[in-house]
Amino acid sequence: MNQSIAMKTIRDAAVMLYFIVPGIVLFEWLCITAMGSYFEESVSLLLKTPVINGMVSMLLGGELTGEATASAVMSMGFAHPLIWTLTWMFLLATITKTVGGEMECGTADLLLTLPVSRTRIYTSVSVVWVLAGWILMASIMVGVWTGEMLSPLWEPLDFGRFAVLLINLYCVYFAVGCGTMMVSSFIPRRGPAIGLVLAVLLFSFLLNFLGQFWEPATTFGFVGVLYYYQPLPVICGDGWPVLDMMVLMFAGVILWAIGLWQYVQRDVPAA
Amino acid sequence: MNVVETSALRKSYSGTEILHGIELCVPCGSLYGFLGPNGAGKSTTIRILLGLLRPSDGEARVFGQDAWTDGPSLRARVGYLPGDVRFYGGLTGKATLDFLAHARGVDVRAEIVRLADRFGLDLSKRVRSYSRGMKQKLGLIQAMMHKPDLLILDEPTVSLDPLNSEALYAELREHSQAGRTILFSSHILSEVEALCDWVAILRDGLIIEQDRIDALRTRAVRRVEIKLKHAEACGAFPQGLRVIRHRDGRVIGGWTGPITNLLHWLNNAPVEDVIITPPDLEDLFLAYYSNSEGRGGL
Repeated sequence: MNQSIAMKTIRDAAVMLYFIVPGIVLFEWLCITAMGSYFEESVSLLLKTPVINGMVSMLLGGELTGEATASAVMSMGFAHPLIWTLTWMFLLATITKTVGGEMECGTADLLLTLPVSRTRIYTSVSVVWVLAGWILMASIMVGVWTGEMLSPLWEPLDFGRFAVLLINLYCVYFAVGCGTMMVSSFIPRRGPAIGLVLAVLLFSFLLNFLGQFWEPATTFGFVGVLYYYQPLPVICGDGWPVLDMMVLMFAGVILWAIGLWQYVQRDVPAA
Repeated sequence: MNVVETSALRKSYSGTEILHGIELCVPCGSLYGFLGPNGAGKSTTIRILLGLLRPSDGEARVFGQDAWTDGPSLRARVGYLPGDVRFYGGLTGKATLDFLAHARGVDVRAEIVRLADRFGLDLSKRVRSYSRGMKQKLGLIQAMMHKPDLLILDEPTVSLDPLNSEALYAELREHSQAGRTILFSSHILSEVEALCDWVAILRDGLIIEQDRIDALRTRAVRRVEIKLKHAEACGAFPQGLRVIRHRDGRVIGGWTGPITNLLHWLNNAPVEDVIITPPDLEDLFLAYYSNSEGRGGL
């Protein structure tokens, strides 16, 4: 790792974190407040609509009913599209900025002619987003905790299960981050790289969604990253989703290594 | 000893060969001009030397090390100005240089101040507010601030005003006098001729000439105009004098080769007046560029 390059990546990432972290905390707090006020009279009714129920099941990996526990209801805060959007926005912007973006905008000529190996540059960027992931995860927990303090639900939340879920969520973050590193190493332009990763993530969503209504889609569900993140079963169960987490981490490490190999081997033509 | 050596260096992009076997030797301590028209392959060669591109075939060695596999260690001794230098727009000039110096692991604050003063660059402004010329100056400072043993400059005077070009030339001469090597890419002959002591001429991905400037000058054409005392009394012209016009005792032509041979002949000929211009490298280089056989046929 090179300290200067890591610090530069941190500076770039910090700008986004200043907005994203408070956004996540605020959302979780509002989510708890909304669930406390409207779950019984409105949300539980909405869940009886097949399409909405299908979408919620797609996000949570299980069916949420009107008799759900407070913790099960709040699993929504760990899989809401807004959380995905904020997390991935940070991940994609941070990673593609240095790995592919530097080549696109021509600053790679300065960076890659420093007496620093490409492996160290790649590792420096990786360390930053890997550590920043824990800040994002912590902000989710802080938001839920703040909400619980200020607007308690009808029963205490199980923060122990939330911690397990958060680690599972971090594994998803890690796998997507590693995949983005790989894509960005192959495609030295930010737009197409971000587009490709988003397309893969949307495909994963689609597979999950179709799986709620169409049996054959479940057969191929395992190829999508979200197949390995099912908040409701984790919250309602009492074990660890070890297999899911291992698949995510293993896939992440493989993708990261392929990305590193490509980044080290690739030509860097003039921008 | 050569600081840069390439042998049979080839580079292809998508099946199209850009470099066709470059044989480049840059002697230690030289101010080496790398001359060629746009698209000749100068930047591609330089990018291979810096480990930005991998050769398709052949070898590129810098300080005796392989430019691709030993890149990080040898780049500690290299300074580089890209042809189209780009910076992080949000940083100030000072922050940019601090970042690059810190990443290199060197403390060069005094040298940064000296170079900024020499080029007249305000480092407190954000780079995005810099003009193209100011960015070029910043590029030059970052390339030279750590006093590299090898300085590679890709068309460094582009967008510099004449005053700053002169400041750069002076800086490069000092660099060279200190025993450091400079590889200076350009497509402007006059600046290479004025500055460099060696030159390589590149055309269509191939080095077609590589020699000391002095040696090239002996091959360049001097325009010669001789006024004879008697129209028919001069006898045979010396070898090396290509006569273009000979009428009424006035001979106009071009001289190629050591000037002493011409002077010797003039000494024995019935000459009334003579005009000999300095060797014109421009003609030589134009011949190299236009001659499809490769070498200039003068």
